[in-house]
Order: sequence, then C-alpha cells, then structure tokens
Amino acid sequence: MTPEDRKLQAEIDDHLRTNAADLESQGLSPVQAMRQARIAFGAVESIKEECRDQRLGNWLFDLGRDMHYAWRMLRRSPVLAATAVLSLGIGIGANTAIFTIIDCLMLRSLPVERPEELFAVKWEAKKHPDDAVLRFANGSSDDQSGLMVANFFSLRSYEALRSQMQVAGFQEPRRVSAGATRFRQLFQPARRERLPRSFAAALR
Amino acid sequence: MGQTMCRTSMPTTLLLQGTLDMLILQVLSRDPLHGYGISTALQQMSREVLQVQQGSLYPALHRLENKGWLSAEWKESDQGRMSKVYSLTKVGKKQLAEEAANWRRMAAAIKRVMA
Repeated sequence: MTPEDRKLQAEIDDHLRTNAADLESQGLSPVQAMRQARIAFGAVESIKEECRDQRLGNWLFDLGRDMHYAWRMLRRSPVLAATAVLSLGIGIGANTAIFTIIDCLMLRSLPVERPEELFAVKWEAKKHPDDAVLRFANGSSDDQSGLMVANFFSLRSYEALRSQMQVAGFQEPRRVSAGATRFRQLFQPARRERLPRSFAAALR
Repeated sequence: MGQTMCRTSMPTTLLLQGTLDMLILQVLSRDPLHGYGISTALQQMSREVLQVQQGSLYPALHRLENKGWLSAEWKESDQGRMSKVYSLTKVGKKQLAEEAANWRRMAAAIKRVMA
C-alpha cells in the first residue's frame, strides 16, 4: 500500500467512525452503528479506485502495476508466453516485410526531380531489325522467341527500330508508331532536359 | 461525474451535472470541514433534500484538491481521531464566484421558461 493509499484509507475510516458515532448517539449499538455506516458509505474499494483515478500522474502508477502484473502472469505460464511472443514476432515481421515490398513497388516515388513527369518507354519487336545494333546496358533479348524487350535503348537502336513501339504513361498503354513527330507530341508535357539523353537527341 | 445524487424521504432528486463541485465549494466557503462534515452540512443546508452519496463525494473532493480549488490538512478531531479537513483556496473562491454567477443566470433563465 502506498502512502497515498494509506491516507485515503484513513480518511474513509474516519468517515465511517464519525458516522457510526453519530448513529450510536441516536441509540444504536456500536456494532449496528458501524454496520449502518458501512452500508451508507457504499462500496469502499470502488470509491477508493475512483479517488485514485483523480490523482495526478496516476496513469503512470497504473501502468507500472499493469506491467508488473503482466510480467507475473507471463512467468507463471512460460509456454503460453513464448507462443504469444512468437506469434506476435512472426505477425509483425510478416507485416513489415509485406509493407516494405509494397512501399518499394507502389508507394515510394523514384528519387528524381518531378517524378510525376516520368514516362515508361519500352520497345518490343518480334525480330531483329536488319541494321539494328542491339547493345543494352540493362535489358533482355530472347533469341529463342525473337521477342526483344528492354527498358533502355540508345538513339541508334531507336533509329533502327522505327517499326513500332509500345508506350506506357499514366493512361492505359497504347501502341504508337515510333516516328519522331509522335515522340515529340508524346513528351510535350515533360521538360525536354529531363528526358534521357538518347530521347532528347531523338527529339531534335 | 458519475452518479451525483441523492435521495431522501422526499422524492428522488437528481443533481444537475457539475453542480456537486459548486455545492462542495459553497459548503466549504463557510468553514473548513472533513468529508463526513461536508456530507451532513449539504444535507442540513438543503433541508434533507440533497444527500450526496460517498461514491460521488470523495472522488469529487480529491479532484477539486488536485485542481487546486481545495487544500487539505490532517487535524485532530474532538474525539482524538485524525481527520482530513478540506478548506477553500483562493483559486477555489474565485471558481465558486464564477460558478455561482453561472448558476444564478441559469436558474433565472429556467425560472422564466417555467413561469
């Protein structure tokens, strides 16, 4: 019992005794008087709890007691505690992993200036153009299927592959022919200097 | 504020929300008293109409003490017991004046409506 609790108990005891003394003076026996006083006072523990709630900083004290109680309960049943901790750990870990992936793929914008102006430009072709020089820094060319896909292409490749290109922006992907004129229209909203060098050169 | 009220041989009367604080301040504006004293004083002053339950009184006293409207000290009573005696602070007096003015305004308005 804390000193504050002792004072509260003393205050309540004093109330009960004073009330009982009054009742005794009205002719009740000491036992009857105390009984009546207790009935009139009501639920002592609940009133004490309400009084504690009024104290400043009592939430911190409550938190400490709750933690102490939780620790005692966990120690009493270690298997249950381990299962709970493991479940929580796995749950939190899985959530974090999923969120990290979603954050990388969908939420976080690219670390460039004005990322909202970026367009994805890809090309694909079913066969090698005869005079194309296909050297990609990071792309793939599948000789088996003959399908060429890359996320980068050079001006030389662009010039060689005028057949058709697929352009994806914020709207649905649409097929456009890779003429320089269409390219200029396509990139009109974006600032030219932000385009990759090869595109900027193509627009000239 | 929880159940703030009260019953006597008269019909049950419910205290309006927030009036218990004002009544405690008013009782203590006359003399410093302990909890039981406040309870009986309220009963007598209201001619037995108001009887505050302890479940409301003691939490209210502790709340008002924390707010700084009441101060409390332990004193020896006539019976030789130690009692916690509450008295009104300066801030409490100011608060009582404010609440009493509000109460008078409200009571007058209700009276006009009910007339």
